[in-house]
Amino acid sequence: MSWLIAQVWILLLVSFVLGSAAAWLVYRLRPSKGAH
Amino acid sequence: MSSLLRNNWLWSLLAFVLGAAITWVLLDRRVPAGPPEPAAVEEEQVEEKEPVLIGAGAAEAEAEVAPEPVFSRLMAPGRPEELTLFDTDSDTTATEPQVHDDVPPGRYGVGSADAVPHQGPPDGFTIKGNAQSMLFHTPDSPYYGRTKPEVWFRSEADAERAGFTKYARRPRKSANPGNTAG
Repeated sequence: MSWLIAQVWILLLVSFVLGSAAAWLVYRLRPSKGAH
Repeated sequence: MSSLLRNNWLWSLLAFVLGAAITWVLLDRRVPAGPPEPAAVEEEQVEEKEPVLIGAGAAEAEAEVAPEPVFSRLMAPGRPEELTLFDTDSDTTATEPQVHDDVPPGRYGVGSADAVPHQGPPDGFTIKGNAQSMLFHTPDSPYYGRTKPEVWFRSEADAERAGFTKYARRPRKSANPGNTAG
């Protein structure tokens, strides 16, 4: 049971990090796309 | 693992969106945080000067907090100058330091001035140059306050003429513009 909860927390953490990385990528690429 | 994702996809999506939103807000806030700093410094200077100008009414001024500077004379171009008590003699104006014209050109030519340690810039020189990196920082640069100037420049054109490059926030991006397609 506790392993299941730990897995859920890890899943949430990974999702958070992935979302953060995605937002950073979008933010970085946004001005250069406008310049083209 | 797939059942785990299937059961918690909503929470995962929520965490994804939350991470994206927090990152976006933090990234977005970092850009406008740089330029307002010089304005804040100017306001502080004005507030420091005001009690000296007002004199006896300093306490009242502090209570009311009037950040706008009070000008004693209108500077409209067509208006003839009215002499104040302190303008009666032309010699007094001559003794005032007119640094704009008297600044000797530094080692980087006209428009530059060698920085003196522990001393501020000459009047009108606001751009800091770093001779090691050959970069110059305008007051908009986030590193302006931290940069120890070796040379001062009056304008960006003067700095560029001396071979300096303006500090850019993300020089890597312009180095390889081809990788944006993706």
